Amino acid sequence: MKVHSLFLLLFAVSVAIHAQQIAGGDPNAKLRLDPKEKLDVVKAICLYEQTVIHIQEEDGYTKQDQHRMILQAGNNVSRYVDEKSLLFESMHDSMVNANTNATEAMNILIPLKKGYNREENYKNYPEGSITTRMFLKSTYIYEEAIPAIQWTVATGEKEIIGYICKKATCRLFGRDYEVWYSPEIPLSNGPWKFAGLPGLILEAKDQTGKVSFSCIALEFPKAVVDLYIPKSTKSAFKTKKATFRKMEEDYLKNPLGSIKSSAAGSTIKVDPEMERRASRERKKTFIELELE
Amino acid sequence: MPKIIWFFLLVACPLLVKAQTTLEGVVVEQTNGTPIEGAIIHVSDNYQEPLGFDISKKDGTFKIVVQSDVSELLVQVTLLGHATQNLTIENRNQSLKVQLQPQEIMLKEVKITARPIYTKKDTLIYNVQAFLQGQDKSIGDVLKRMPGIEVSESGSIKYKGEAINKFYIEGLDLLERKYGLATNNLPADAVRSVEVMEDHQPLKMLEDVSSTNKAALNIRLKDGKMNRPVGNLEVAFGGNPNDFLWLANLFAMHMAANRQTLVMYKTNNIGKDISVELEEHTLETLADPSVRDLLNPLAIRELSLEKPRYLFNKSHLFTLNNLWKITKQRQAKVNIHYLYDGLEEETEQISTYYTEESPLIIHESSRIDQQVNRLEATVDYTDNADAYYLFNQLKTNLKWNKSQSEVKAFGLLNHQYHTPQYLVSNKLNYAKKSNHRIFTLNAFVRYSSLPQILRVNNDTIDFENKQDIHRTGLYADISSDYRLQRGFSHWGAVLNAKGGLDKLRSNLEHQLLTDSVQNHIQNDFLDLTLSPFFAFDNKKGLKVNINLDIKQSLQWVNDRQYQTKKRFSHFFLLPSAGIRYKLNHFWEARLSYKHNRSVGDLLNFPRSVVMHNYRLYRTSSGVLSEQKSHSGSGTLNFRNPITTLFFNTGVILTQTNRNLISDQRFMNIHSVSSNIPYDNVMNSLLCFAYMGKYISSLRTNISVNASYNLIKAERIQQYKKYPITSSAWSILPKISTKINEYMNAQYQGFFSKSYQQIESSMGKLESSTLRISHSLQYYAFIKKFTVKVGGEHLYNEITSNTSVHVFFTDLTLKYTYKRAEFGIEWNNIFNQKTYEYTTYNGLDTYSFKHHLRPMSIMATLQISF
Repeated sequence: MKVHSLFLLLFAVSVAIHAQQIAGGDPNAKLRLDPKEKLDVVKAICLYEQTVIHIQEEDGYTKQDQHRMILQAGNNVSRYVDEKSLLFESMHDSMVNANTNATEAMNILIPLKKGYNREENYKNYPEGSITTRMFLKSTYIYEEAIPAIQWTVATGEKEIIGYICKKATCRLFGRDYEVWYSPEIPLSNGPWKFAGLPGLILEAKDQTGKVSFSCIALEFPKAVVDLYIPKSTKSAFKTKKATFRKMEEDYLKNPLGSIKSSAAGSTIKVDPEMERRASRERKKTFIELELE
Repeated sequence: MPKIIWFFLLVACPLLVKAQTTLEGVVVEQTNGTPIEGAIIHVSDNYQEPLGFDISKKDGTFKIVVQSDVSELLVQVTLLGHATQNLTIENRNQSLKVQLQPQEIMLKEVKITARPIYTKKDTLIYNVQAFLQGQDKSIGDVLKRMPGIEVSESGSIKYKGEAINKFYIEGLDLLERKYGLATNNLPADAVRSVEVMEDHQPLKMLEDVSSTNKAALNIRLKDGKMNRPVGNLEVAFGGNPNDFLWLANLFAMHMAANRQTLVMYKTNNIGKDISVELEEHTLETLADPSVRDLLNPLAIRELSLEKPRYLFNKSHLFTLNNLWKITKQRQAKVNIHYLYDGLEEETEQISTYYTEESPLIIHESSRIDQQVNRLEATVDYTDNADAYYLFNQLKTNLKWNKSQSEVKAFGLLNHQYHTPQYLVSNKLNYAKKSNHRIFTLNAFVRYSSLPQILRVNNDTIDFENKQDIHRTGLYADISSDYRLQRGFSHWGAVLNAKGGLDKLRSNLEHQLLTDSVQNHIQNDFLDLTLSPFFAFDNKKGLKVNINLDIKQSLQWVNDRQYQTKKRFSHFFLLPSAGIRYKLNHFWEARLSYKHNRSVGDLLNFPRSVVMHNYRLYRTSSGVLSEQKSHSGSGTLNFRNPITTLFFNTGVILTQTNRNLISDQRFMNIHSVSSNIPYDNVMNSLLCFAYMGKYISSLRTNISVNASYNLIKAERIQQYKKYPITSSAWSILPKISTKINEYMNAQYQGFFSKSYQQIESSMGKLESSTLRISHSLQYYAFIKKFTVKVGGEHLYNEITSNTSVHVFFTDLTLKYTYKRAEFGIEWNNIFNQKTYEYTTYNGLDTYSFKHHLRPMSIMATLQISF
């Protein structure tokens, strides 16, 4: 397989769209630029493979969720987001620039996000907090204080993607993690909500083996890349973490439950058997990541 | 470890404590002195042994407490994108100022590998394997689970809440509007993927010109399921105390690149209504206008129960569908559907007709034996070229329905209805594009012939009353449209012409009636409508629609029986408007208004009597009916997904002015009904509300629907005019709960009370009825077994002091083994025999007692191949 820089790929895609100049369609239905708020400039891009395994207590039914997540670290703020979401956003923008017909564009864009991780985090935005954006039928936003992680530096060294890493341990949201950070990369950051070590965290694994983050690539952009948050505040529900987590848990445990109560005409008939299967097929990453 | 050692350690500890140094400081940019956040300050001794670290705060400050006796400390300040600063300092409390200089990042990179992304230009591909579950039978079962797709029980499909505009199998439109045959029967495991083509434009010539805003669905089959027969077989046998019961379904198809064949045969006598398989679903093309029977036969009634509880049937359905792809763009198709439905019903009926002297009460018990025979055949040709589009469909729709009913009332009366309908139609759609101009023509022409007969025999008199009625018609509908879009606004116009030649002849041979028994009427009409429209959508929650129909309607009536000729001309302006406003994500409001005016048709003119059953006759006043209505509605919606509370409410008000009023006269037991000239007004009000809430702690969903409606109208009965007020309220609560992973339970209730008020010279007469029902279903899933237990209780008030209770219980057990499913169904365990209910129709009351299907046991087997 050919290896490209992610940026080369994004650039190539946008060129392709410019070149295509999709003809016809309704000339007035244009894609519009999604409002964004620039938060910082990206200094480092780190790609993590995030794996979460959940096991159904009742019958041992096992399901594994794997996502390729990108950490965009800036000077002050960092963003942790699914590779697919980033690709979607940058293609969307280049399509806007190319004046692509809206429906045509959405037909290309929507499949890109298939199976993406619906949660993304903004560390130190606003200052001292983590903002989490989550899509669950609608977009929800909540803020929480950056967790004060009690790091215990342990002995041990290993190499990850060519960097010498040191070992540390911590407890975060009810899980005990073994973490590998590289003092060679002077960035006090890491995947998801991890941060605070004298070097970039390249690997984190919880003791049960159910949750892991491991770095598979690292880049330092030469060009200026903006770090932004999509400003869909108008269509996003602002909520509190506790409220959101409760709602999310209800939704994931019984996804059709809340749908049924929204069906005003009450013409929707739900086969209970289907409902049961749908609920166990749901991705439970978010629940599994934070136990407390 | 002995306690003594712990003690020793505790005592010795203070002695081991090393000197403590606090290093404080600030990290700034060398160039302009601005504080740097996130720099890593690392302290170690001469041996590179780490002693502590800190990350600089927003103001650049840091603080490290070092415990070491060494004389010198090494301080390393690093930050990505800056040159590393190494300082050697004395081991004492001190404050440092570290200046960092930007530097190009020299670290090695590990390039990010991009994943290949597979997208087809405008197609969303759902991989069926990802959604398929072991027990899915038809593709409809799988479609239900795909996000964005909804499937109704009859098999119709919606994508993102809108009806799809085409249903293809391997890119070919084999079934057209009857695609429910595929959704409900095509085996799920034969399908590889389902493609949703959003904004699908079926006309190739319009592909880059106009989009439809609708999606089409395409079923892709697995390679191994192509070029060979695929299908499934289901058989069930059982019995009840009176009958042997059966069910057999065979579905088979053969799909190849240039030819598709789909065959199905279904039969049963267990009360399953298979005629729904032939139901036509919404697609981009409109359905053919319907044709009504001329006689109202005594036919099987629909009850508010599930059909397998009361339908006594012997049904057979056969369908054959064949498609040939002639060239890449041309195809031909033949579809043949045949349905035989033999239905039986036994009822006891009490009809009460109000008159001021004394109410007329008629007791009847009837036995209806109805045979539905329906044959539908279509031949189509499509040429979907780049520059033009041609579609032509020739269709014959033949029904020869018969019904025999024996009514025990005043002696034994035997009715024999023959109500055939013969329809032949042709539909042509043509579109041509030249120099950016598009010409479209849609033409529909139909010839219909309905020679219908009723014979009534009485066991006491040796005379047969016979009604012959025959209507023939030729109907045409041609339309063309034009539209434009600018910014947030759309406007355009539709031009439509409808015309018809309609003829009716009737003749009654009656023992008592000899006068005014023949009709012979010719009615020709032409309607021209121009409908300009305007729509606005600012994409931020405000939508406005305004429509105006400018309609000229012409009618020529020639009554050859009474030697009169009339010409009617009407000009109508029919405005309608709607507005939708979305305040925020929680609230949404809608308002709409519509003005409508319409005139009647041929059936307003037969002035001679037509017999519909042994005691019901109809005539007309010979006056064209005119109707004028205003209706307005308002709704308010609330949704809060965070608290899972949903609420909506609305009101609909309608006022209808008519120039004819319904009139009923009695002569002995015979009644003659007609519409006579008298200006009257009907007002109606409908209010409804819905609330739904999901209670997560109980894994339970609760919803309540409530409605109230009020109708004020007038009727004439036995030469007297009565204002009638009827009203009804109903409440429908639903609770569904997930007990655990393996158990589900659902409850549904229905409470309804209706009131009737008649104002007569004797004062106000009031009556009311109450209906209550409860149904409870319980499901359990244990490995390969599924258990379903259901109970239903119905309470109906028949008169003010009599009421009935009915109890139903059913049990279903299923076991799945590989590609076969075995099951046992035990229905109507308490063996309920009758169902009674009362309905009101203005001044009249009807009470029915129906016979139900007895308790039955069935064994089922289903195999797919």
